[in-house]
Amino acid sequence: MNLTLAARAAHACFATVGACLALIPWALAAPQEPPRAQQPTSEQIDQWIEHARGGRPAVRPQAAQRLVRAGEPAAARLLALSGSTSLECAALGPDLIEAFGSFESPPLRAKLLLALRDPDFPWRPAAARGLAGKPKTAERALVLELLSDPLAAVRAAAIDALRALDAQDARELLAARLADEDDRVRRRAAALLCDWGDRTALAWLLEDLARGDAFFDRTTGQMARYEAWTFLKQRLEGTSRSLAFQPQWPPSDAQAVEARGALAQALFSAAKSPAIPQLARAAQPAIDEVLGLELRSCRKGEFFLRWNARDELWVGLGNAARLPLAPGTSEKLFAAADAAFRKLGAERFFGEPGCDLEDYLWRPPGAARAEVFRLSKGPQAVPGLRPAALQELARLLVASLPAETDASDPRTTELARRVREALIALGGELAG
Amino acid sequence: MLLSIAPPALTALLIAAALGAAPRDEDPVEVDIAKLVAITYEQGKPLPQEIQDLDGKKVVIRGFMDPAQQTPDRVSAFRLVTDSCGCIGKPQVNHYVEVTLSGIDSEFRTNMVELEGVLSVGEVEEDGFVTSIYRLEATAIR
Repeated sequence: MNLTLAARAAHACFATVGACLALIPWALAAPQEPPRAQQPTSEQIDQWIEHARGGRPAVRPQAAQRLVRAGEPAAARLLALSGSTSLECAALGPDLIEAFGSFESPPLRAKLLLALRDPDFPWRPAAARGLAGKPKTAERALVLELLSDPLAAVRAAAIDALRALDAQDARELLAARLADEDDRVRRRAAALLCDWGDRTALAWLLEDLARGDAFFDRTTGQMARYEAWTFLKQRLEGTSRSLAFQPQWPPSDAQAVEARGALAQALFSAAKSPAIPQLARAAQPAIDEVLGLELRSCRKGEFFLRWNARDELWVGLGNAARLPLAPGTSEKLFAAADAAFRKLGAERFFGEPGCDLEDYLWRPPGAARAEVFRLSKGPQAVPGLRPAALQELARLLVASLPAETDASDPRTTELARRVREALIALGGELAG
Repeated sequence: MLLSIAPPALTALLIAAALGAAPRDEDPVEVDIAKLVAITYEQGKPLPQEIQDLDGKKVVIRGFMDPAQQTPDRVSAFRLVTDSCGCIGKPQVNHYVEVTLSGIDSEFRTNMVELEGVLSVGEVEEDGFVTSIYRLEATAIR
């Protein structure tokens, strides 16, 4: 085939000598046979491991996939590099840890499971995704356990693993995730329940189409609409007359309201729409946030806290939970924040880029955008990461968290303890 | 000869064509980064038509500099992502816009940024790996 193409090209280029000359090297270089899959060399395997470990973010999963395709030699090399301790294994990075689950290698599988069971292992979400790719029947108990893991990304992967296992008898445990504090988990649970025959779960996705919430400048509601619509569209194709919805439409836009109404009619015309828990509702309270704390710990989970001038604390994304504070609390916190941020001057970033983030957000009245003061690090502890100017603020923020909260809302359960632990895992010990 | 009889708009187009520059609309199109990242991407498969139609367009787009690239130095290139945290799930090549600042630079910003420039769409490969599908040559950062 390549020779035919080369001959045609040679014929055509009689018209232009220059073009013909330009094509000669190509024609000569054209392979006679399609390339055959070859066993990669050990150098190639090492190169792909380097790409998967420290390459550009988009390249890492692609390199990991090449290793999986390479099979046994790559598995053996990874096993050798994974060392004998959790720390050595973690040094391979999340993309390789995730790939462990795709090899037919019992020792790598054992390492994956060990990582998942170690609460201090920094790449447990990646390990859970690795498990979810090809879960074994014998791992079913672990998958069920992971459905209530403290990390949302692990819970989301556990749902994918349930799907792969077709564990329909675990439907009740799955349905409980419709009240998960994390919207990504709720959407996955709704999609899987629908695929297992419970179309009422689509009400959760429909609800997300009405979200317009934000966390400071981040349009979290819009992101929810896009993901919910992706899930919903796949499950409505061929069955609905109402696929006119566009997730970029603002939720109060007349077209959006009409499209959601038509979808609701198509989905629930004969049945009563199920009751959606408060935390999954698309309400958009006017929060008027001034000060925020966003924590993302690869070991302790994610927290989104906001304080406004009305002595209110709002917890979580989406329909955030409102916790009233003692009068004067916000004023005291804002004064401390203002003083701390002034001390930091133009500095906005402390530490090194990594999986752990401790963000302080500040949008005083009149400011167009929030300022973000960020501490960041990798999986290793970094003593003294939190600058002195932020130590007192962090302590005051934790002290402002109510000790008693609504036990029915998972976002506020033991909030002070959990936030304190996350802060210690991120920026280090708190002052006082 | 032709230039002397052509109306001004046509003259501008002809000059642009003669200089090798593609004629562009004056007003940038507002592009939602959430729309870009929400596509179902599969290597080698065509991108959705509405995404392909953005290729070569002058756009305004908002997002965050990827925290994984944070640096105290000034930057002239970075990845633009939807979230102030790059740590959610597995990063895919459709989850960011590869930004090059043209004729300007910036401090690394932790807050939301607005960029204006020309978007190009399509797979770019290095060593057989797809390294980007969205690229923005930005002339303004706000």
